[in-house]
Amino acid sequence: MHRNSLLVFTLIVLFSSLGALSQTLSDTVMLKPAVIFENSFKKMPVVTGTIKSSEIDKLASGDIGYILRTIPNVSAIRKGGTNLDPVVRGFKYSQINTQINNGIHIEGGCPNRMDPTSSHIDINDIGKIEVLKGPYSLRYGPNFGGVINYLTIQPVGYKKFETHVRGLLSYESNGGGAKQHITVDGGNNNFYYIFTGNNLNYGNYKDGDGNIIKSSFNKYSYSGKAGYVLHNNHRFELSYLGSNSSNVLFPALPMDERSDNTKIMAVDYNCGNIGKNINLIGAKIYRTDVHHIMDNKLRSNSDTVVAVSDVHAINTGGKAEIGLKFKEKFFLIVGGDYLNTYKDGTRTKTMIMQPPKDNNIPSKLEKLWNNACLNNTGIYSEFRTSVRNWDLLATIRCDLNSAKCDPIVLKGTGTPPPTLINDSNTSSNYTNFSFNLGVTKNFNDNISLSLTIGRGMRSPNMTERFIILLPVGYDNYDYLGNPQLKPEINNEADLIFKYNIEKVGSFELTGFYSYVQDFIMGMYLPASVQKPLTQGVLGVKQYENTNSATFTGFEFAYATPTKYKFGATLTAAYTYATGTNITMQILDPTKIVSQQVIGEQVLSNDAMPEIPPFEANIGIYYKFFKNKLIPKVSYRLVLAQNHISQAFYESKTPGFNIFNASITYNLNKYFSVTGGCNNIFNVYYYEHLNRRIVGTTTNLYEPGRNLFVNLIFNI
Amino acid sequence: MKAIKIIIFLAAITLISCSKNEEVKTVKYMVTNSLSGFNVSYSKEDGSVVTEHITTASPSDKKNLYSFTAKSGDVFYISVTDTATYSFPQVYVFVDNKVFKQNARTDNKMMPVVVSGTIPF
Repeated sequence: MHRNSLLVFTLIVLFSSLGALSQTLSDTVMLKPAVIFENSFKKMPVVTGTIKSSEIDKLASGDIGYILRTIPNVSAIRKGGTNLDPVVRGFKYSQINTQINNGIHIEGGCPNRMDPTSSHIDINDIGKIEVLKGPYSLRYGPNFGGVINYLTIQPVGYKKFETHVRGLLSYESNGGGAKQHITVDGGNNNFYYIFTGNNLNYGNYKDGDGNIIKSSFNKYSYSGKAGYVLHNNHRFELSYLGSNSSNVLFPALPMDERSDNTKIMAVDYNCGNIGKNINLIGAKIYRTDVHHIMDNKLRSNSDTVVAVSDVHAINTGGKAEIGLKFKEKFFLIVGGDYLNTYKDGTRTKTMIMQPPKDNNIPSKLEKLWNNACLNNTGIYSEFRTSVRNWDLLATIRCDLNSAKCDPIVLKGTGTPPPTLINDSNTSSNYTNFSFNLGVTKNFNDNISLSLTIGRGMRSPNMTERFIILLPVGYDNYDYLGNPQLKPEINNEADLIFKYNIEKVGSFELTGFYSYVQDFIMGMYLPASVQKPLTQGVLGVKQYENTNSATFTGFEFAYATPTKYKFGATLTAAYTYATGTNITMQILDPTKIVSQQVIGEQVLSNDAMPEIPPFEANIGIYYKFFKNKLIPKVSYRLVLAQNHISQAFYESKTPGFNIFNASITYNLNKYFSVTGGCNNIFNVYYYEHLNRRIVGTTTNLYEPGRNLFVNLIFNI
Repeated sequence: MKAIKIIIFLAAITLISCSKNEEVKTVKYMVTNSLSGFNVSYSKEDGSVVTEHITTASPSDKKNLYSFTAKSGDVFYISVTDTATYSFPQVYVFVDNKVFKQNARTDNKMMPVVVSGTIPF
């Protein structure tokens, strides 16, 4: 409460002082961006989706994943009220390279991914989100199915030293969500800085049928960034971000997040146009530190066993690259990156119904990870050129990947603890080659056709290698890691057609086909081999490389020219994914409640799990009074998902229609307000990717009608 | 203008450096309806468990065994065994002076009455 009151007071002071302000932004000078990692994909044969902070300000949400859903063929897995986990063209988890500020990787603490990368950054600290689809963006690290790059707000410079303040107050009716944000930034030609603070308090939301979903959460975060520009565009930058959350409820997971304390530190150096042939040089080093605690204290089973998991995950990494140019038309970037991931965690089970032992309530300690460590060193090169009406892009990348952990043992389950995987089998080393080649034929300034083919390899992640018997999958099994997994390979082709008509708008149509080899999935281990540790699961699965899978689909986007008062957007996307020779466990049909595996069946073709159905979005707006007043309505159509995985016991999901409306009023350059209503007709629905509520067959429904208001100050 | 910005800046710094005080709650164990006495084990503030025998004058005797402060999520535990045939002790756990959990003996006199759980959020 104290924090909230203080921020409200701050913003009132700000607002009341607006009349006295006369500062303008006309004296701003754009500091050279971090050119070394600047996104140059505009003219490249890669499908991108971008969301800017100006768009985020007009939406109601305390979560980045919710915003990502607005990009065609980007979906998110919902397990609670926040921390939605993104899915791009059906690829998820480590199949997507998710990072912050062009290269910072975060290893979350929760094996069930209740804290994906996006959960560690506040949505109002975001300046831009880039989604690069396909295995083509190899400068960002090993890339299997796409890159999501969260770029935090970058300060601008001023001719003379200035300081500016930005504030945001937001309220949502459904769940009583309140959000406060403040940014203080400034500097001059040589020095710049930015500080931000955020506070979010969201209650339980109601679905369209009035049911209360236990989804409340509290978060606060703060960040600082300071940079110094030497002559010749040499720039040094230091940044720090601290993110804290508490009591984040996840009704679709066995535990809730009790606390999360994350620190992200980075040092950047870059410079541009050094000589005739050197276009740019850049380097970055960083460290992320996640301390994550979760428990089952709000679950009914905590009456017998109180389980608390405490996980510590640290990432240390860096990258460096140099950009060369020859004859003003041949561009070559050569670089390397390094990432070290360390993870260790335990689960303490306190058996509060059992008689005391040695004057203590009996408890046991289980290892979730056992000093697991993963290293990835990569080198890459990207070549780009334009010849007549043809643009060419070619990238190659090589990764040396190694991982190790202490023996995988079931600590606390016997003396000595049984060893599942011994020391000699927990290490692995891989050399992965990835490449892509893309060509664009520019028929004229308005029409282009691109074809890109690529191969992206990813090494197994921490969970797939080292997890020790936890129900981390979509299905109800305990999962066991496999340190000897082979890398997964994505062979993909994208065909992109772009057509821009000045008076009508721009069209973009993309078709993609992806053939995945050595797909990593869980394979059932009979009870005679391994019994589960978690109550109520069907058994144990261990990660294995299975056969192949294919992902096929398209994306379509149309937008009217922004110069008109009337504007509209239309997007549509679909992915169809199938796996071959997938083993399905047959459950005993006579035992509905305590289900048991009674056999196996190999499915020659089965749908891949957690693939979003067809979706289309239409948005219409009109700019009144020289852009002062902009009402907008949007319509979202999602078809039923009937192509479902039998092996993962997926259920069909019905389609739905959602209407949203908002209105933005730009009072002056200092103040604007956006109000609106999401899910106007209070539709009772859930997304296909929403997980089921734990212990039930009920899906986690989306929020019902939600009124919101965002007040924004810029001084 | 500068003053306003300095105020705002300081307020922001103060804002982000504040952390919420964890709410502390009072927990109390109470046993009643025991004919003449019972054996009890209960967890203390530091998590250790003590075991003792308590005598009662009559079933209406209310024995406040232990009171302590705890944070939300902390574990509590009390187990009462009363083997007298016609004694049916009732065990209560109070959180902030309100009954949070309770249990009573059944006909099985050898079965301890256990009340345990975590302090509510």
